[in-house]
Amino acid sequence: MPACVRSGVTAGLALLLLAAGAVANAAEGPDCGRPYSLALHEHGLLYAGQTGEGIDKEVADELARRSGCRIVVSVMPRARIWQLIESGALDFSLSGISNEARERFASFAWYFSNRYYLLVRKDAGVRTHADLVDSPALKLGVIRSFRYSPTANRMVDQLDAQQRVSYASHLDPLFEILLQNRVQAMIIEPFDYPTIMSGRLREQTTILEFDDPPVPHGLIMSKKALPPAQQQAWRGVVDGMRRDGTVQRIFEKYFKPELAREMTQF
Amino acid sequence: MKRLHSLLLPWAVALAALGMTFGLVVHEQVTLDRTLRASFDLGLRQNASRIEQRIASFELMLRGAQGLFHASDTVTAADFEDYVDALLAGADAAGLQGIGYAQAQADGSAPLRLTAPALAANRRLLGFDVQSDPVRRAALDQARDSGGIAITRKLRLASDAADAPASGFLMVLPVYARGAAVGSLAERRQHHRGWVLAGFRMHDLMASLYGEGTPGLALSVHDGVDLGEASQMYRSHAAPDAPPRAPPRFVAQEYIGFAGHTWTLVVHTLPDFDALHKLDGPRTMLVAGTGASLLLALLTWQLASGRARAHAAAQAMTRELRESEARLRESQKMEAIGTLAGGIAHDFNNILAAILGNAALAREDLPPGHPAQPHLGQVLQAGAHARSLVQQIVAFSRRQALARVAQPLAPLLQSSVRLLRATLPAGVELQVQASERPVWAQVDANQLQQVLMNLCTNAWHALEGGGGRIELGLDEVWVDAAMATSIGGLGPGPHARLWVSDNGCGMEQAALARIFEPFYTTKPVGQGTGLGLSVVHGIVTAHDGAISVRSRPGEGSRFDLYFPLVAALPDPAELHPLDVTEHAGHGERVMYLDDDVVMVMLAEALLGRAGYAVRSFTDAHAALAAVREAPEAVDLFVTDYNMPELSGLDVVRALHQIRPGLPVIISSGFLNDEIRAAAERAGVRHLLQKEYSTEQLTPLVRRVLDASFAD
Repeated sequence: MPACVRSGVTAGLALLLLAAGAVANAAEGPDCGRPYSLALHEHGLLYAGQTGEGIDKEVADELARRSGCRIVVSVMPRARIWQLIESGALDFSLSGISNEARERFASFAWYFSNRYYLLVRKDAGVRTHADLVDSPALKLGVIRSFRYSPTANRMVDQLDAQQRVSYASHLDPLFEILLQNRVQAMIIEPFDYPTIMSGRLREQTTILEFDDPPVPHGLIMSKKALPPAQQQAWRGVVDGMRRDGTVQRIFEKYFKPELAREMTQF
Repeated sequence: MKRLHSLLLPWAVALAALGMTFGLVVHEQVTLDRTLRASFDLGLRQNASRIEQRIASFELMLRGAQGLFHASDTVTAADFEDYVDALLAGADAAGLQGIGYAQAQADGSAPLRLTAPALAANRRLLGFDVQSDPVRRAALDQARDSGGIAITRKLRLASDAADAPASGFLMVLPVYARGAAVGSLAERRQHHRGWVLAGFRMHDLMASLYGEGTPGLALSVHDGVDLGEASQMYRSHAAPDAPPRAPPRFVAQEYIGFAGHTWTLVVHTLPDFDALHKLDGPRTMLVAGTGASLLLALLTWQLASGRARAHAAAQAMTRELRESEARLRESQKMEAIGTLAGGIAHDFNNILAAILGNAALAREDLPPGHPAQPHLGQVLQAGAHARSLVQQIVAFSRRQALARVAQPLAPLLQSSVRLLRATLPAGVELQVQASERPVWAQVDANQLQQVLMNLCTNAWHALEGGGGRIELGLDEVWVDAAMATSIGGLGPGPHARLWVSDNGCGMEQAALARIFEPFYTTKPVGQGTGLGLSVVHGIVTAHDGAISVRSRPGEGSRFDLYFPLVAALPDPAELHPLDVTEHAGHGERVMYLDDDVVMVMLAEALLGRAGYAVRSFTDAHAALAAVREAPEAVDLFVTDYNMPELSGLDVVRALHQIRPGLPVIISSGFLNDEIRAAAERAGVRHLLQKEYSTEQLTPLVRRVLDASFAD
């Protein structure tokens, strides 16, 4: 056998061994051969820029710890996050919900679920979300690119078609303009309770429920950035966090135990 | 029902098409509104996104500077300047005035230790305590405690003049001790060493994003969610001097945030936003759709009513055809009646000539006081009446010769009116409407006057109670093809129109259809002969004219007479009736030829008594032989026209061969234009209507003889 042929066969075997090793790694855990990017968005208890703390910050830290991979965390608007996930420029984000459009470019690893609520000014005369829709003078504040439960989504789309929606990149300005009566309602989640329970918001607003089941939230993975095997590996990491109670413990730091359990045991 | 269907269907199609057009216009308008709204939303979102991206890129730049301190404990001024100079290359750094490092001091102050780029304005800031005012301090504390980026509220940069507007902001990142754990707030505060800061002027930053701005949109940026002048950091368009005539089509606010800090973007459309989009689509569609709908409805009406309209047209054509057939039948009937009447009249004339002549001779033969004189007078009177009646019959049958002369009709009309005024009772109002423009036609004046008299007499008789209005008129009309067909007997072209109308009792349709029939009358017995309108019809027809009649019971009647309009003067060769003057003879030799013995006897008596030497014949050949035997033995030859074997014209031609220049008179029971023309061609210049022989024979003979002697 000529030397050049021998060296080619050797190289081929080496490649096969490397490929087999890669498959084995994928089945066992995430590939930490490169640093990963993860973006947070400021949203109540999920992440607060002023303190640099929140549920998602802890989840991100736990993902890095368990995987052993280097994860670079940044903070940016939610709309920007979805754009980068779709383009593949960003690997991960947290607390994302799915819909048909997002399923085309992202996969998810669920770790909690929650309901959505309508926060309305008491003086708006709104008893149900239908009252809000039927009153042309009333406006709704939402975070751009946010999607909610089916009923809430329909209401947002309906009001948006009537130019009755004000958009913000985060919650704080929405609370402010709600207090200024420039919008009369906004959609909230349990992460926003601490803000709502304080001061003028508690006095001037009330909370209405949507008749929708809880919506699962999870780790967002870019399909362009991560091959299916890696998506499955990271989904395994998240499932492990749920199984051993890590997720519930993180939530219990921010919510009452009953609520934390309800949100994470779904 | 069919008519209703033919009307309903086009309306239904029009309504449906208009409905579709309206629906399309509404849809187009909605689509246009959505497109405009989408365009506006895209502009708004693009503005917000570009600001977010630019701030994110500045954050990365500042993190680079932060990393410089985390990588080395001894960052010199030269190191810092070199690093910042490398970062600030390019237009993307526009708006960034400079980067500095402020060192945290134990007393809580934070003086700037390093500034870059190395500009005089930046160097002057060295030592400036960034903790000296609460706005900066809030951001510095947030950055220290969070470990992340923080942005100040709007402020005036320390490098700016004291009177410069406060439209800048600082971006701050904390610097911790190299290698220290900063996972918790306590650790971050414990190991905090200072801050890297970047100062920005908002206007320069926005200019680097948008250049001349987004077409059709005006943008302003406010610090926080308040929208007053105090919070305004940037405005793309100056406030207008006067309030706009109409509010902006779209206005929206978008709240963007960085590290817990909020900016509000206010975007509204400018008037040229509409100009950038074609807004006339719905209007164009509305106009085009409406036009197409109407055309479609018209087309549907054409299709739906085509059968009905074709049926109506066919009915009208059938009706016209039947009316035309009826007129033709009427015309043929009148023609036949006329022919019959004319033939009778011809024979009657011969008889009447004999009766009148012989009665006149008998009266001359008897002394004035003779008992037979009154009876002969009655005979003559009755004969004259009979002659008049025969003349009317001849006129109706168009056998009476016409003396048609091109002449204005107005004088004839006026002459008739004068005569009528003298005749009609005072209760009858006679009105005349004559065209000021001369209206000429080729007519026989006497016969036309007879027509007018007959019509006016009828009109008078139609006036109820003896009073009322009769109107005569004359004008010029253009008869088109349809009118000519409707009236019948006319060709298209200019015509003189004479009319006689009354406000009398009028006529039923049945009477109207028969009024021109001879001997038909609606008058009481003794008031009419039934020949008046027949004569009128005959005369008008003989003039190549036509009559139309309109009459309804209780609404009066109107007769319109149409004659072809002429402009030329009459033909000088036209023959005129002879004037009657009595002239006695002096033995002149007159040869008289007539196959009717009675007429021969009458002529012999009339001429003999007048002093002429009469030699009479009943056979033409004998008469010609006598002339041939002694051509110079005769001064005048009078011949009947209608004779067996040889006609009067044959005799004339023979006489001209025997003795050229011999004066000849042709006598006939009826003279029409044809006979007159033939006589003229034969060289005969004098004609005698036989029924007038008693009055006219002798004067005519005298006149012809005098003329021949003069030649």
